[in-house]
Amino acid sequence: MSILVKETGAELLKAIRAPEFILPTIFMPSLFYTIFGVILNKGGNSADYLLATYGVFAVMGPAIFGFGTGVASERERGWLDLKRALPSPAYSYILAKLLTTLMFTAIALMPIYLIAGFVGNVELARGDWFSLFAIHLSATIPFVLIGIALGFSLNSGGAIALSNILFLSLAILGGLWFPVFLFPEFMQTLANFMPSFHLAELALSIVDTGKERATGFHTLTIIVMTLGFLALAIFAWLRQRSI
Amino acid sequence: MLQKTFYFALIVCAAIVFSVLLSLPTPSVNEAGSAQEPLTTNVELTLIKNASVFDGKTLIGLRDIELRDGLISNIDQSIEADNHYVIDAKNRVLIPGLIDAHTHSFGDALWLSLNFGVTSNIDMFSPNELISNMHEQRASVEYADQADLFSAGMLATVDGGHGTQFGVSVETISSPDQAEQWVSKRLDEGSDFIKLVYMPYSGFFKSLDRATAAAIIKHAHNRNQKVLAHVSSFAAAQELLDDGIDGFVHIFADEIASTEFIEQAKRRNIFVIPTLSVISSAAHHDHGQVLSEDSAIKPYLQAGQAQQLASKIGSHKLPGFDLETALENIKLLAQAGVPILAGSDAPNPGTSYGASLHQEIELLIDAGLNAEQALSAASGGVAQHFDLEGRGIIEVGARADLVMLDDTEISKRSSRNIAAIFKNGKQITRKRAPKATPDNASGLASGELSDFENGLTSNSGKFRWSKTDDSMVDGLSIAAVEHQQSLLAVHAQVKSGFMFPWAGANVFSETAWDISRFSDLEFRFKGEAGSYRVMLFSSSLAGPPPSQNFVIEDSNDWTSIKLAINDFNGFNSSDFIGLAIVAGPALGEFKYQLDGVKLTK
Repeated sequence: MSILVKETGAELLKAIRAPEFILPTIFMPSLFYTIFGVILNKGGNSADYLLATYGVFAVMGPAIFGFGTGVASERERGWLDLKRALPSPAYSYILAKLLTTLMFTAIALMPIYLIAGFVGNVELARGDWFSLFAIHLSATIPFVLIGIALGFSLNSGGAIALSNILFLSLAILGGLWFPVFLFPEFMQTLANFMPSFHLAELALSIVDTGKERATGFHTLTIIVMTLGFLALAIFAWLRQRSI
Repeated sequence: MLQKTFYFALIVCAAIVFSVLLSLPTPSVNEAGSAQEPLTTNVELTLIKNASVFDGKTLIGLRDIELRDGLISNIDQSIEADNHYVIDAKNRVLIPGLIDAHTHSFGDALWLSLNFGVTSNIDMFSPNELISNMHEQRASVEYADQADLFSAGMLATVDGGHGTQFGVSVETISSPDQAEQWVSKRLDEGSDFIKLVYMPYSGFFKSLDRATAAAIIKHAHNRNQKVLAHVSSFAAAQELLDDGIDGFVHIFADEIASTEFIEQAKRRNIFVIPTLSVISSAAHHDHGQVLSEDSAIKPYLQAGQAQQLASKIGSHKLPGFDLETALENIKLLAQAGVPILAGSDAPNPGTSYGASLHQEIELLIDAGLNAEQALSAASGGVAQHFDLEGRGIIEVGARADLVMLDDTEISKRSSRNIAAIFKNGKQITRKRAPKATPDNASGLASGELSDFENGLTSNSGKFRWSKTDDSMVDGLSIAAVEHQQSLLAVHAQVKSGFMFPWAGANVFSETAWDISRFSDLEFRFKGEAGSYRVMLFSSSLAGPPPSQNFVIEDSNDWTSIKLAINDFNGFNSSDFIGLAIVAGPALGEFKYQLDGVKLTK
């Protein structure tokens, strides 16, 4: 436990001392939200809708890139080989990264909420703000698992490329930028295979009460998907261990 | 060091998250209504000094009145001010919050009513969604932004009967053997009383047969519930009186009541809610119009209310509605001692929430009631006959729902001279009418309404597109619009819930424009086959907007639609603020695209 705490502390220090990675992931989503949810939406009424979806968008970045490209490059530079020689258990390396990511994600969500609430005039019951935060924060988990699978399977160049492709497809096809119903039929079908879509629907079920959403179905789907990503991540982890 | 970093980061993180989540804005308490609720003072303890008190029945003289926790906590000749918020009511009359005994409270009804001193509405038919939270809401003394609601809930009528023409699903009843179950279901849903529609002599509507009406009355009485009836003819009223009805929610205006009827009504202890305001509208008198120009009413009418008041039921005078006959019937009933209660039947054409109750009080005085009786008919009388405990009355323990009048005594029109309104002990700030339409004399230079090149604004930013649906009036339809390359995509789900369901897109300007030099509205449309509707809006509009329908047969191609502006009946082309292109009232899901929307010559 104390090793985990120390290792997380180290991860945090690393992020704070080299802020060029962490700052964009914190501010880019709120910048996007300000532009699309507030400025281009003057007098419209999608500030609440986009709050739900951009929240999911905000957690995707740190999770996929932090793990995908981060792990790949650390592995490539031999840092992981070195770590293997250290007494700290392997899981603490992953968990420390996860805790750090959760903290940064939580912080990254706050400007979006503040802009939505005080500029976009989104009003939610106190409990709903907390539920929304809980859903957004837990949305980190499946994306982290995707990142781990990438990071342990590819070299850093490949991981950067694939992370970007995945990141954009999850954002667009999952309906995080535009509502899914505006898509052509086949893209709507595709959305069903995106974890981002189901997470966004869960977030929307809190924000946008005008429409009935199959929350049970989305919860179940996202759990099954997360278990799938977990299997994938374990597989990628074991494979690189055995090389 | 690393441990400290971790714990420090964790605490900072948690502190930021909690302080943000706890500071984010939450909606106000008003669940049913709008963002425009009147402001309230928020004081725990209020003392109204030197008020001339009308207690709901009669003037009782000068009193000091203390309000605490939403109730009247003390009434005395003189109460010492302590840490009270003190209001001087010298030379003013204090009356109970008014009660409108006949409404249909849709949309913003409850706060619009409160804005005119009406603190409780009694609905004579409301869809189930509207009454689902009314018991909880009115039991609370927390609310100060809307009137409380009592309701019959679903009304008893037949397939094709009055009440079924609005598009709200109605659980009809057709035979006496269904009556027991029908009544029981209403009581389970939370109806406060039973209302039935009995119009056997109407040319327009089908009606319950007499045996079914009698069975409903019998079973409701078995459950200790009152039964009120909508009738439109003397003959129908006489039959129900014989069958044991408890009250009528309109006065018949087709003939003068017989002496036997009046005596029987008195003996049977029934009451009558004449709704003279709406009979005036059906008879094409202009009481509503006059009210909308009254200097005590006009400054507080909200968008559309003035036009609502100025409109009339039907395109010409309806047969069977004679205002003089109605007034005479009320005079005879009142003289015999039959209780008369004030109800406006808002929002029917010619009436509007809150304001029209003041009209009704005046009409009751025209019919022969004195000022005290008429005011009691809109307060204490209603509370007594509907068993509304602690309302319509000024006594210790009653609700602190009060209206202070800027008058030294009560007269025909004093109820509308409102100096202050209190709901649940809190003084509300009345919302004034929106500012008058800005100068539009220059007219609209270009008829372009949909550039769709630069997002949702058009015509140099004068107009803006957005979704529109009946959720703004508590309907269940849902619309969404999205600007796509050079066009507008609309997704509309039209669902049953509001009387005239709609969902689609609209374009609005913040100011009104003169478009009289344009002759047509043109646009291109691509969407599922079906019937769609175009509605034009004026800044002074209320009630249904002028509209035209168009039909799409081929869903694969763009269709050019051209509609003459003159064919939008009743549209004032010098006062154009926007238009809507929507799906509905046919229910279902519609996706369509719009482009090239413009006014042409």
